[in-house]
Amino acid sequence: MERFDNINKKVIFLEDSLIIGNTLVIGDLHLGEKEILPKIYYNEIIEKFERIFNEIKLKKINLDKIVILGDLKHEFGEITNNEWRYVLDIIRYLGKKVKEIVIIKGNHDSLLMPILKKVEIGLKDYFFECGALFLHGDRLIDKKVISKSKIIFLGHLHPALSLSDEYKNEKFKCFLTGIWKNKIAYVLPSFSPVFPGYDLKNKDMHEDKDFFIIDRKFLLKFKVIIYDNKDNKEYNFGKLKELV
Amino acid sequence: MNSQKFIKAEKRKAEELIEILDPLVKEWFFFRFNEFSESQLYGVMNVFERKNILISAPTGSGKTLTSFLAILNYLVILAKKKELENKVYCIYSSPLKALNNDIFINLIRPLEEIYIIAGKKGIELQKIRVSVRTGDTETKEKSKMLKEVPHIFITTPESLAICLTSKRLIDLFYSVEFVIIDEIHSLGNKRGVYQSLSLERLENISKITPIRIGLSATVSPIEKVANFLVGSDESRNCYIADVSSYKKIDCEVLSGVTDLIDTNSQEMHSSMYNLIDKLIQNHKTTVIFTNTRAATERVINHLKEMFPQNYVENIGAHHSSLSKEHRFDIEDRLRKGELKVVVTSTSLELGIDIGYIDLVILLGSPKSSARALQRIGRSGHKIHDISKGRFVVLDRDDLVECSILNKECVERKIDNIHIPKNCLDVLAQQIFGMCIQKIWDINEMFKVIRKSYCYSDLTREDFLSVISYLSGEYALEHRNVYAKIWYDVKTKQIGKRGKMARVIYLTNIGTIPEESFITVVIGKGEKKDFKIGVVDESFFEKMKPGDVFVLGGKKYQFMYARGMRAYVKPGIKRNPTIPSWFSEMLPLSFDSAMEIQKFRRQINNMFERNSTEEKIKEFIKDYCYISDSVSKSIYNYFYEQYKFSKIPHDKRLLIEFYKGEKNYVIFHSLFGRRVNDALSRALGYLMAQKVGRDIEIGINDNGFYFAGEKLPIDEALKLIKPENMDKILDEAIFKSEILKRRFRHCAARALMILRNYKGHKKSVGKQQMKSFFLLSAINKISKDFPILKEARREVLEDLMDKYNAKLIVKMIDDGIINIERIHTNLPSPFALNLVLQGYSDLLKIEDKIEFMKRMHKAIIEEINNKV
Repeated sequence: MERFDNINKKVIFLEDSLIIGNTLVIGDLHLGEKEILPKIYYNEIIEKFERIFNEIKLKKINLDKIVILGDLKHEFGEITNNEWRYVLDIIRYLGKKVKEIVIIKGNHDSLLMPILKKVEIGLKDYFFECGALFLHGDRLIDKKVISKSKIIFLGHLHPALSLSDEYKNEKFKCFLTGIWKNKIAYVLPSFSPVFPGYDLKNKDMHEDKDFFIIDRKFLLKFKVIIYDNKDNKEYNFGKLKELV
Repeated sequence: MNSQKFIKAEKRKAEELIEILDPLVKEWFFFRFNEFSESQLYGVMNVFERKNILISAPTGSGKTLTSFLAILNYLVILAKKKELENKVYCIYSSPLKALNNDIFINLIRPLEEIYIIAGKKGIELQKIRVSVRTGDTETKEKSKMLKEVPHIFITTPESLAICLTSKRLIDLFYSVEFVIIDEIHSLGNKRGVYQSLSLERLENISKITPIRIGLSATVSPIEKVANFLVGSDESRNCYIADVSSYKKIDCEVLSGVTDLIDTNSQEMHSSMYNLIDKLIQNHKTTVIFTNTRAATERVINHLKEMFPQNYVENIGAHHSSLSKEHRFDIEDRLRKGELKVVVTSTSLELGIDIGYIDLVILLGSPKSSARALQRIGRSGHKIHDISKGRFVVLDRDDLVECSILNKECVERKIDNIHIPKNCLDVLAQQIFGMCIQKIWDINEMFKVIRKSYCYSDLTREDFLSVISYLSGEYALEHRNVYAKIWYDVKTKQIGKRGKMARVIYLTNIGTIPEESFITVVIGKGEKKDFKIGVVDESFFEKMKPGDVFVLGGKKYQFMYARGMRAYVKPGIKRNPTIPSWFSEMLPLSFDSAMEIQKFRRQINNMFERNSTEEKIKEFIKDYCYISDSVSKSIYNYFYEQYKFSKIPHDKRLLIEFYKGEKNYVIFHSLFGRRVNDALSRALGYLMAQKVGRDIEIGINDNGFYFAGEKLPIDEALKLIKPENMDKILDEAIFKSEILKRRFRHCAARALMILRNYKGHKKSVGKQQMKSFFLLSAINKISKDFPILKEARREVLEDLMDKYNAKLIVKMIDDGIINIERIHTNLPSPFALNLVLQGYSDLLKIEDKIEFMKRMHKAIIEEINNKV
């Protein structure tokens, strides 16, 4: 991968994912969530991937890698039948699209390893390459790694923003981007077709200071970006603190 | 077609009844009572002669004993001859779980007394066993029933359905002779639909045909309820004993002040409570009915605050969100005469014995004459007592409404009961239950189901689509994980699937939707922590700090939430930012609404004929059976409207164009909320489609309004026709919150979403998340998916009233109702309450992405302006 000198210009938003260089980055998937119908859930995810890969083809990007930012599976203390099935299915599916799949360990992934062993993929606490750092976002990692990185991608937060006019109120998934620890940081929305995410306007969600490694006071300075799937265009809403 | 007969029961002579009674029963009866009650003279002989019968009589008229007397007599005769078998003779089902006291009075005590009489005479009797089986019954008790089979089996609709899946219990039901359905008037809902199917299943199991005995409060049309009781099998006739008019009532409309508009709210408030206090003090025991749980608490607080010397330990609340223990305690203290006053929402309407009540206060309109009579009937519990009820009115619309309800009560005009038909979610649950019971031939099953009144016109297509859903054909899941039954097309057989079937059924049965509530409390100021009421959790999820919403008629601003409590700021003037669709208040019945419209027309005609004020007031007084001062208030209200513009009525639909902060189009359509909901959504949808933007809708019983930038109402009125109403309405509710919410309820009833699985109870929030997801998935698969179809039906037929809405559109089309338009600078007097109340829903037409783009533009502009 080339070094990201003109980093911001290299980031391309695509639905709930983004592309940096030849790498596709996606947020939390939460496969196998018991309360929902796993097959429909899985199908929706595949449909979304298909749209993204089509768009990538149109953009003539030569994709070689996918980074999953953690929480690939959902249930904490067990591996359900559905998780076995769909985690393997999705890895096999993505394996046909790219040469390399990198999986970061999320807080939901304590029992993901046994599944990944079947397909001989490792589970990383973080992934670093050519100045880009990919992590889940639930806990801090080695300071040295952070300091040598230029750009950081995080998941875990499931950011969303509710917009309301005089009487209407709708919630939208969003990206956050700003400066953290003197680096450029991107927080990705979840990839889940079920959860829109946590409304950033709701302060309560972030009262647990340890939930996300970026403190809310920094996040408030981040820009909010909402992606329009219809026209494939992103909308920059400015700084979060102006919106909440 | 159907040759069923519904026959008026005749009043029999007391001698006839005496003749059939065993000497022991006779001696007991006259030891307890001096004579037979009206309902006994009409009913007992029919039960004795094994005829189906519906007994409609007020609470306290001895109808429970009417149903049991001939049965007790029969069992005593058998017990004497030592011919009692080890089987269930009689099943008694009641929607109330807390039956113990009633059963004690009507069964246990009579039996004990009969045994004492027999003992004295040296007559040996076999033991007649009575058992109660509800959700609360312990396992030990349940297994005892299998050995010592109860001769009289007392249960609830839910427990009965469970019994019908258990082989060992079915064995006890093979020759039930009597089935008693109590409080059948309260079953005009999915619980009743559910029970009607259980009765057909029971009949199918039973080797003989049990007779059905229905007990009802005053209800109309009574033949429909009789039909509901006995089902639609052609051979089933039903006798009807209507003894409802034999209890005298004394009712009156009262208002705390003479002028309901120019008195300030503080004064109105205090004079209303003075009036209520005076009424309570002049009577021994009073029950106050409010329409909401929140109001119940409010009334108690105000009474205690204003009259601390009068109300300390002698006042209590009774409503469904209070604990069982609390409610039992209140009922018990009422019976013991320890309470001066009880304030309740709807929970004391049903026939729980509450002892001696000499006054019922109806605070705010009870919204239907049947409900008014039912509530008033709670006073004067003994057969010959007079029931005394007082309507205490809250505002001027309430005044008119209560006066007409008063008229209807005096003249005994009862509004029509609504019984849902062809509910596919209930059907799915019952079919699953039937499959657990045994393997069925599909045609036999269809035949059994169609015998229920609620499914008599079920189409084979709908039936098969439910079977498809249950057998996993909609491919919602890999390998049919969610399939609950199998269906073999070749053999036409169907049966249960999986070992867990019975457990899943037992732990998820029922029709009452689960909700969770957030308590709303005041967040700052002197009234900090004061509890205002509750809001639905799903409604609450839509709120963010700063939002204004309506609760109990007042506006509050949401500040923040902690756990299950929402903290708010009171005294807000701003318009609500959150629609109030959640507040599913009691709707005014269509029949009573039309009565009010008719009344309006008569007053209007008198104004137009220049009748004198005196004459009109006299007319109002006589027409509604009300006092001079109430009549004067009504006169003033109508006069203001007449002078201001026009009085709308049953032949004149007034559309008011009022320009305030927004553009309003107000329909003076006094058809009740259920009709208005349907009408307004249909018209609003047509308009929103034209202009491509969302339209705000406000609905109450008296009318509805639209607000928005462009409101092409004339075009919408041109487009709407009785023939295309179905299609328009289906589209109009497609994206609505209410459909999503009702879909969750239906999905739970149809066991698509299990509330309980392998011992884990799911939170309402999780159920909701799953149902939203399911709904979007199903929309992709098929619009005719049976449970989605049912959710639409429930919204349009049960929650709203599509049929009467169509009727109104037809009347407009036929020129029976004339549309007239007025333009105003201030809302007319009749429109005031509607405009003040705020909006109920938003018709969403605008695309979510379009909305995002619009907001983006606005926000960027704002930011640029700041710079």
